[in-house]
Amino acid sequence: MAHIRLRNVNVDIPVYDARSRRLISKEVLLQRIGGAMKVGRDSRVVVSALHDISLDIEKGDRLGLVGHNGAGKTTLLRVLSGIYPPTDGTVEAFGRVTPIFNISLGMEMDATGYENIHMMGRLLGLTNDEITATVPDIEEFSELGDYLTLPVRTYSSGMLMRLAFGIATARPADIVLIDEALGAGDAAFYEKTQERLDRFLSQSSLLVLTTHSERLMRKFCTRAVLLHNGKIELMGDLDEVYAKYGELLV
Amino acid sequence: MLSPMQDISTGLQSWRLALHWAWMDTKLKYRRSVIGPLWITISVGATILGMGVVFSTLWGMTLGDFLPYICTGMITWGLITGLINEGAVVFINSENLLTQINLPATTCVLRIVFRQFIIFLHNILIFLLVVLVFGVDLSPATPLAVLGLLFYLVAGVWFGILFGMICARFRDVPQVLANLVQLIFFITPIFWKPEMLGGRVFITTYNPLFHFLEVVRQPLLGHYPSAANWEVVAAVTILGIGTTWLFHRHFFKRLKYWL
Repeated sequence: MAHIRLRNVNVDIPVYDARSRRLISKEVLLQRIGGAMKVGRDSRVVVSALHDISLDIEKGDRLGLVGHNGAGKTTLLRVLSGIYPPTDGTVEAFGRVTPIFNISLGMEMDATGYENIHMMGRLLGLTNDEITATVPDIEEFSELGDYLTLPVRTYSSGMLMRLAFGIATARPADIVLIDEALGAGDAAFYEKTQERLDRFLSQSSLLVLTTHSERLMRKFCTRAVLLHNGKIELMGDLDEVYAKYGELLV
Repeated sequence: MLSPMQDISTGLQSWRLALHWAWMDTKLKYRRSVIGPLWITISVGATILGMGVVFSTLWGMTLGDFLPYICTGMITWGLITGLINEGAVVFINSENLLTQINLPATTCVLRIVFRQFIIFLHNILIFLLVVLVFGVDLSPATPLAVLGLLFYLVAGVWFGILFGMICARFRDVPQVLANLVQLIFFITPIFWKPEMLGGRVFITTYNPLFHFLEVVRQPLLGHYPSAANWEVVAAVTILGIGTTWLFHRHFFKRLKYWL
């Protein structure tokens, strides 16, 4: 049964080239933007990206992450995906995770469309046979035709997006984590590929999504978590969360 | 969530992915050129020829005597340097990948190690050419080169993991290594022979890279590497794996925060 459970997770990111003395004297604690800064040992500046996060995400959940810039949404996604081990606390994840943070990741400009399908498929953890099985589906969705035999540097940005999106959504995944901020596509793009995205998401067990578009959030998510300065402010249904978010922004 | 142990085991199991990747890297680098990866071979070959002609004259040796020696030395040294320099920056260069998909860090190391071996295999063609033209005594010792290369493979992996991590944290270290390697090139007998040092031959005996060089170079020339060569290589390997294991176990979780 796919699930992710976090218990008392802290993520402290050290900044190795910041001069902490200047910051201490000015007592800068950015409230609206960015995570809380503190001074760790050796007078090193540390950004407390997440503080004491406990969360249960179960099969069937469609969770949205809402919060100001720098609240910790992307960091939380990275912890959920197993990419960032937390500084403290535990993460228990069961199920194959497909992080969709940058769907063009692994794309080589000089390689052909087909070569990229192969390469990116391997990065997603697919075997040779599984990748071969996805090719007709990607061909059909991307509508790139013979362009797939050309190097992708000849593609327009729209074509690149279609190819990357086609590859990322070719196989259903257990746990899907989408970070819109890092280039998975803007709202207009989602509209265009909505049918495919719907199908992909409905076949996945669990979804966590972060987006600044409320419309997208309401379309795909049933619950949301409000993050503020690295802490969970509220978890509940979308109306509650957006109301509180609005309050905090003022 | 990958524990240090899981990262290494999952990484090693993904060697096919790493190999495919390394091959694609090489292919793509030469995509729009005609001769392609053969350029690697040509450029190394030109250097060997130039140095071979000059230094054989300087040392008063015949070309047929000296060229196979310098050829094997340069090609093998190229592999060693490649593994060291690429290993140092492996995680720094893979920052994008490591922070956006859950790829084992060890896979990235395997990728660059395989890439270096692919380049080495291109350069071996030069040696084959030299063998054809000048004739080298191939003997039962020759297959030992493969054993030597196996040690290189293992070394490439532990070095890449260990120094890849150190260099990710301390960004000066890749430069330190690059400069050290440059220096060691001159004090290692590649374009000169160890006997020429006379009383100062200890310069080579205390140089671990010299021993690594010998376990591949000597078999290619049809000779057996000395017991001392094997002993040093084995000792460095054990020490290297041990240190890497301890370091990795303790610091692996910090790696993502150093990138």
